[in-house]
Parts: sequence; structure tokens; C-alpha cells
Amino acid sequence: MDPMPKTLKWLNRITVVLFLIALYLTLFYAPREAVMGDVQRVFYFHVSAGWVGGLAFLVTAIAGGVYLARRNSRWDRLALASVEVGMVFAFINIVSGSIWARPVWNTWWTWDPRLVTATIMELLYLAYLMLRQGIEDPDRRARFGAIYGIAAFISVPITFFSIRFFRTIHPVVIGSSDPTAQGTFDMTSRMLMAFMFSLLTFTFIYITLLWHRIRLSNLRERVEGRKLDVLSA
Amino acid sequence: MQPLSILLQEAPADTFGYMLLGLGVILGTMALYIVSLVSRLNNLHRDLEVLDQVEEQQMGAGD
Repeated sequence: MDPMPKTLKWLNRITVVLFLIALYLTLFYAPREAVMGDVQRVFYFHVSAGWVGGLAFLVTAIAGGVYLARRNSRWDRLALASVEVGMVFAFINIVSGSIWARPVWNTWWTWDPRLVTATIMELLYLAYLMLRQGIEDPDRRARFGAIYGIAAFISVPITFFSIRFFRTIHPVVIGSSDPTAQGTFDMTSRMLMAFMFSLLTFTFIYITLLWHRIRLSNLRERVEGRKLDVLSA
Repeated sequence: MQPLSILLQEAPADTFGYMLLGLGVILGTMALYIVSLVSRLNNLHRDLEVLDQVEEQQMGAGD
């Protein structure tokens, strides 16, 4: 396999440093929230993971559109890699939210619009991965993935706006909450700093993991090609 | 509306354990994904090595 590009090596290092700083800001720099206590610190990574999930699925939709226009398998590999990384972060978002909810809402789970739409979004992309595996022909698989990736993206804005359009107990930290929301808090400047830095850090983590995942796809394609060569020899 | 018990409390709720659990799940999930990437990469490298050996054998048999 091609050696790791220098830029990726540097990206690895920068991402690790950023993550350590984000962890420090979250645990020690940001103050303890006055009502919820320490569990509120989960919020910084919880929202950042949700952001990365949405960003990853947006990249999948765009890559799908470009694939349909150009029919270059590179875009299909990007779309697939982005779904996989996005699913990891959407999962982190849902589970960390559930852990935050236990002491604040007194339950691990409730049928709130945000929780339901986020879970449906995750399941839609899980179906993307499963359905792709059932298609043998690479061109058909890529075409299906592109169309599905574009269509499934509708779940991202629905999830984002669910707490702004529907009656919900999920807090809206940026913007105004429903009066029935539980766990709302005003961010101090230190909290805002930790929050913005976490968003930046998770974006770097996404780019780094995406790059590694694409390299994995490239290697897999090379191995599949070699297998065909060996079988046909 | 906040539950009454939260409004009456004088100090922040003791939710340190939940914070640890939350951060543990976040870090653990990311670590698992990285391990999965590395493991899949190693498997593909192994496949490539096997393919190299098979190709060498095929070339040897053809001579």
C-alpha cells in the first residue's frame, strides 16, 4: 500500500493535540453547571458528535450527486466512507444524550421528537450500509448508494429542526427553547469557548477518520482487483 | 418547567458518575472505531501478501 501521506500524518498529530486540549477545556476550563452539575460537560462532545453526524451525511449527499453526474467510483467511496464515520458520531450523539438525560430528565429514553428523529436518521443510514451489501454489481451499487444518500439526507434537517418546530423537552442551547424544555442553561464565555473548540476538534476528527476510511476503501479495491487478476491467470 | 427538587437544591446535582459514563462511552466508541479501521487495514495487507505468494506460485508453475 502507498505510504501514509505527510499531510495525513500531520493531521493525525494535530487532531490528537486538539482532542487533548478539548478534553482539558471540557473537564477543567469550563465551569460546572449550577443545576445539572458535572454531567452537563457531556454536552460539549454530545453536540459536536451530532454536528459531525450531520456534516458527514451532507458530504455523502454531495458525493452522491457528484457521482451521478460524473460516474467516477472515487465519489462513491467518499460517500460510503462518510456514512460510516457519520454513523459512529450519530451513535455517540444518541447514547451520550441518553446518559445526560438520565439524571436531568429522570429517564434514559423518552419519545421526544429530537430523540425519535435522530434515531430514525441513524437507522436510515444503517439501512444504507446493509442494502449496499446486497447489490453485487459495483455500478448499480454505487448508483443506488448515491440516490439513497441524497434521499436519506432529508432526515438531517428534520432532526435539526425537530426541537425548533415541535413541542419538546429537549433544550435548544443556541436559540430559544420551548418553555417546557428541561435541562436548558445559559452558556458562560468559558462554556462557549469549550463548546466552539469541541466543534472544531470534532470536525478535525471527522476529516482525519474520513481520510483513513477512504484509504481503506482504496486498498480494498486494489485487493479485489488483484484477486480477479489471480483468478483469471 | 424544572422539577421542584432541582429548583430547591442549593448546590449542583452530584452527576459526576454520569459524566464519567458519558465521556467513557464517547471515547470508547471512537477508540473501537479506530481499532476496527486498523484491524480491517491489517486484514487487507495480509490478503495482499497472500495474493503476492499465489502470483509467485502461478508464475513459477508457468515457467
